[in-house]
Amino acid sequence: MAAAWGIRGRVIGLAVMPVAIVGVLLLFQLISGKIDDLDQSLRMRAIAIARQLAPAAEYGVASGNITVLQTLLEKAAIEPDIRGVAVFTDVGQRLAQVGSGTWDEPIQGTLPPGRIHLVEYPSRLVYYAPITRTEVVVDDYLMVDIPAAETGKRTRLIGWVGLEISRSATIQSQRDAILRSLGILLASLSISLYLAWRIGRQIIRPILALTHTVSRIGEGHLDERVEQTGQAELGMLQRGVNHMAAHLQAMQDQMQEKIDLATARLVYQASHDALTGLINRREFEQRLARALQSAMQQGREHALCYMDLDQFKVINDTCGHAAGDELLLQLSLLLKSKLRERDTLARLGGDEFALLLENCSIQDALEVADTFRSEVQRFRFKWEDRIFAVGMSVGMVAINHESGTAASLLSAADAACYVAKDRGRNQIHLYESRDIDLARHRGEMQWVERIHRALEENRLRLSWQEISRTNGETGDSRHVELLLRMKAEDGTDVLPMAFIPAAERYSIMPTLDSWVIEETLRLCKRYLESKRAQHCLFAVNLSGASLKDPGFRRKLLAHLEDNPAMGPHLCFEITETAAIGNLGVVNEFIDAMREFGCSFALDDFGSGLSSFTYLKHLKVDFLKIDGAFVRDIVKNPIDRSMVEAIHRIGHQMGLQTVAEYVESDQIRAVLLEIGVDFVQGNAVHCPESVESLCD
Amino acid sequence: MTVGPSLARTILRVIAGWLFICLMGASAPSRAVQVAVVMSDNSAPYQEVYQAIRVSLDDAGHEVHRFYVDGLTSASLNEARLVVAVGVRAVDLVATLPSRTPVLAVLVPKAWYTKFGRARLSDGGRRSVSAIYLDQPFDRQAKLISMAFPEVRRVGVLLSADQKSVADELEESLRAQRIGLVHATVTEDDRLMMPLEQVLNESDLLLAIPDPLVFSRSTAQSLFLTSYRYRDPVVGYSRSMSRAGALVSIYSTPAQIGRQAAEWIVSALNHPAVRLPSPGHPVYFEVTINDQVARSLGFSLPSEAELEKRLGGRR
Repeated sequence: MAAAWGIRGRVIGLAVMPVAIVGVLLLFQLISGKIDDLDQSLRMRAIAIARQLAPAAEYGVASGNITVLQTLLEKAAIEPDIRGVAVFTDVGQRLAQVGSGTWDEPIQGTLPPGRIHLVEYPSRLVYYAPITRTEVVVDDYLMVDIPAAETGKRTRLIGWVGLEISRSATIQSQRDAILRSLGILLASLSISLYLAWRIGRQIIRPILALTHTVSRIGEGHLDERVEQTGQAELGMLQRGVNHMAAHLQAMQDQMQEKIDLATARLVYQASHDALTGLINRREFEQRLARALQSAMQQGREHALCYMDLDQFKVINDTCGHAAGDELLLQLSLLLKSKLRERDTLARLGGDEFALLLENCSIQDALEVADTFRSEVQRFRFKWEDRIFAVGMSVGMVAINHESGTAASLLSAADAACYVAKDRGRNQIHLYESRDIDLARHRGEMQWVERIHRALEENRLRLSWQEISRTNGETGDSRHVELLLRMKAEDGTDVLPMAFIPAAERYSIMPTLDSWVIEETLRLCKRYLESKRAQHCLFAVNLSGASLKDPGFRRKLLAHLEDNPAMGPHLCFEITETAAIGNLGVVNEFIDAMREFGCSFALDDFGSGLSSFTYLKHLKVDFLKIDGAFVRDIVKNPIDRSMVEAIHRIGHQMGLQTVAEYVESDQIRAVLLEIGVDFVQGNAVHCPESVESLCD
Repeated sequence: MTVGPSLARTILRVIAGWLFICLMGASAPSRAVQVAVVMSDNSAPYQEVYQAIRVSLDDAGHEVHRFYVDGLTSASLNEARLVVAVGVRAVDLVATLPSRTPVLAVLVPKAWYTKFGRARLSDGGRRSVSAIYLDQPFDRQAKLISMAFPEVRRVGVLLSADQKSVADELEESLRAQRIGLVHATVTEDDRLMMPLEQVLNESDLLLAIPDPLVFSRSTAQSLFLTSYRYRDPVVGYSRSMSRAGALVSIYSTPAQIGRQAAEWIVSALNHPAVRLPSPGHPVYFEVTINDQVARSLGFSLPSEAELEKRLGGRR
């Protein structure tokens, strides 16, 4: 309202101020002019009367004729404003008087002759006009030399005329003039004020309406509109405000819609898996908590399944993430279609799924889970021109009033799933608290910590195993594989099979590989320093994780740049699974290392999804045939054929073949027969500490 | 036809006069004399007198030297056979000089001359002196009143104490015309009105006598107005008085006095010993009438020329 009053006040001020200023100035000018004029005219009149009266009274004074003077004064006194008029002789004797008057001055004789005198009093003016002799020439010529002539030159003053003028009429008329002018000023100011108020109201009413509307809009009432009252500037303003409000409202509606959509999406995303559309771990945990609560409080029975896809990793690694995602999506759709209404299927991450079967006995749950498993088993995943079979391992745990927390339930289900995997995959394992497999799994879980501790306490060791030529020739070079060993806390050796799976599963491999490489390089350096005549090729295993790790690669390159002489002494063994999953990266790595003269071997060939196509693209020097084929080669002709085939292809591709797991001389004999280039195994050389290598 | 004795006498007189003139004209150069005119100052009336004298004396072949009171010495007048003193101051100065040259005083009031001037000039009879008065003779004035205002029986006069003696002289002149005189004396305290009103009350006409204590520039207005109120005409002694309100005035101009003086001088110089006539009033005069005043007061007067003629005025 303050602003509104401000505008109104300003409009009124604008209209009234000039009027007031002009009015006051005019009034002042008018009054002062009028007062001056009145006073001036009074004085002029008085002076004129006195001036005329003085010569007229000359004769009366000169002759001492009081009657003449009295008549003269009576005639003069008729004039308005005259209070009194009197005639005095030059010595102050009053000859005649009409009206009242004090007449001090002529009596005191203080008036110098020669002019009209004015004595001012607040309410009256007193004029004294000198009466002088009128000179009349009587001699034709001036008789300057006549002695008595001088007497005629005496003072010409013979008396005074006193005139007292009342100023009351003037003062009254001044007062009237001021009052009249003030009245006119006040009236004109009032009219101006009224007009200004009227005009101001016309201006302000729409402005107030606008202000109200704008503040309402500002408060968020976007449906508020101002009434259209005019066409001029205010009308334009009103239209503008209405348009703005409409526009704002439309924008807000749109924005709100978008916000609602985004919120819904966020809410959905917060509780759902983006890829499959299934609910996510967080949402699942909440539902699980609710189910657990109902089980605890109402004694209901539910079942929780932890499901892990078999072979997902292989598909993901060989066909890429897109294939893995597609597999997950298709499986999700498949499983979703099999759900009962009250069942909850969630994707917990990666290839892990969880299924909550509410109000379901364990028997029923096993049935349902088996249905799922068999559905997955039947399912064939087609990617480009290839078809994959997938399995599913399921860990199940019952939810009843004895259950612990939701987290412990999930953990138990996970553990059960692991056991199912461990037992050969594609099966269901029901969690029981006294489960031996579970206990082992949990024991393995402890490996992670044990590996870290072993690293810290420097309890890792390297052993070496000779890779000999099958024909027994030694030549001018030797070929050894360096193997990782861990000393247990009690001093016994721990074989890699015990801790490598845990290390792979929990991403400790790059750390272990780094340690192995450091040690290898140190060993190589020592070997070089010992200046043996025989060239030695040190083969070390590199995991897929390390191959993909740029930090690992940088460190390795830095070492080689510092010691380029070591390059030709190093051979990296990589598994076909690791190589195939990251063919481009691995080939880059191979190229970089070959610059330093390093060589490569493809390890465990034939154990996984061995593909000769990939073999073509991998620039390796050695092909190590998996022990699984070699082990029974003497008895099993198929294995022998496999080895022969692999060997032949390897040779065709210019690779040298190495047979692992040579446990007997018979095996060696067969391999010699086939023509495999190198053999490795306990029958050839038992692993021993690296110290013996350099000594 | 015989020639009458009167005709023969006339012829003889003419011949004798002609001879006299011839003799005079022949002897004039050898008898040229100097006349000194001493003036009170160089103002117009004195100059008028001098001019009148000079013109006449030039014609008569006399030398006229002009002097002013300021710077006049006894030696200045040594050569002069006659001194004309114009004005009271000139007379007073000349009287102090040791020179015995005869002096003619002109433009002097009669009252002053008879009281002081004559005695001072004659220096105990050692100097021959005479005067032409400024004032008109009372007889002439009385005659004028008689001719102009036949109805007037009593003439009023205001006199200062000094001129009190004049009253008898005037009364005598008026009596000759059968007119009475009413006179009042004006005292020094300048209270004119009372004696004036007293005089006007009792008389039919106010005769103005030159007297600065009575008629002056400052008193004239009141005197005229008062007499007007009494409807008494005023007879003045100057043209200015007629203009100011006097009904009729009689006076002699300086030129007229100068003319008379010249005639006296020529006459006096004709004698081996300069002999001046006795002092006297002017013989030449003028009369002026204010017709407006006459109309206002309801008087009907003869014309100015008529009056002058009847008064014996000479042109």
